[in-house]
Amino acid sequence: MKIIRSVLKRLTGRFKPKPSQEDADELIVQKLRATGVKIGRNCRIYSNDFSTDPFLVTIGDNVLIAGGVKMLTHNGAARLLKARRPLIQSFGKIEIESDCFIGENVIVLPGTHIGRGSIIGAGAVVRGSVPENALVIGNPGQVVGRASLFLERLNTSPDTLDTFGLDENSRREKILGHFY
Amino acid sequence: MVPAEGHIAQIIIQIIAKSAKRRTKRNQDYMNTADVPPPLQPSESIVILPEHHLEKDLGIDSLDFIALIQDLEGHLGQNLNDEMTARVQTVQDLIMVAEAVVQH
Repeated sequence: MKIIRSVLKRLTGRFKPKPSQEDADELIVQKLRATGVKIGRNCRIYSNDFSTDPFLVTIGDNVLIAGGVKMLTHNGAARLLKARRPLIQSFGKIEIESDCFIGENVIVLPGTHIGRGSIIGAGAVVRGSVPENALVIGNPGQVVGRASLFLERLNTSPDTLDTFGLDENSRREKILGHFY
Repeated sequence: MVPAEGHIAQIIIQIIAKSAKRRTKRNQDYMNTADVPPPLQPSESIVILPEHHLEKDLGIDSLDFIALIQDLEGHLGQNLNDEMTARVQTVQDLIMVAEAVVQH
């Protein structure tokens, strides 16, 4: 019986359709929600580093968070005061409004608020209040201009192609055809 | 090959030159060993002409461009239109977009 069941399981497993990218993305969001992160609609999140206090993070709608992003919701330095206050810990909320993009390996410090439509460039360290529609780069993160202008510029860039969701071969051919 | 004329053109050229200077300094900071290529020309010796392409001739990448526009808007005291500014390719394009905004 056990053998039959395991064979059946293997067979059905083999014919199970591969989950689509959207389903896989939604699964990540659901897992994060279960840990207490408040996440709006239509978000794609490729980082799972939401610190020990994920319930302090709020994310709006249509937010894209790239891989390696770290959300720091507490300040570990507070533990240096543990001789005086044995249970000490220091926290800060993180709020990311709708339509933001957080680039690869960004570090978001406790108490950060990122305004609607802002773009945080890869590797930036963000803290404090980021206005809406801002393009932030570097460490310390600095606003260098408008995110909307950056997006318009990206849209007209010769290296911006229409390849999302194409099958692997056509995508590869289209990209190689563009560059070589 | 005529240098750009006019007040706004001069502001734009100064801002572009500043951006190129920062780039050169950055390269010098990192490239102080013997076996690396020499840094870019210092910006004082770069002649900026209206027909120069911002990226291909002056090495201003997309992030430099956004910062440059922010700087220019500070000088003009008003914002440029995103859609029109995004299509800018040459120094002359940028001068035209800025002049159009100031005249209105």
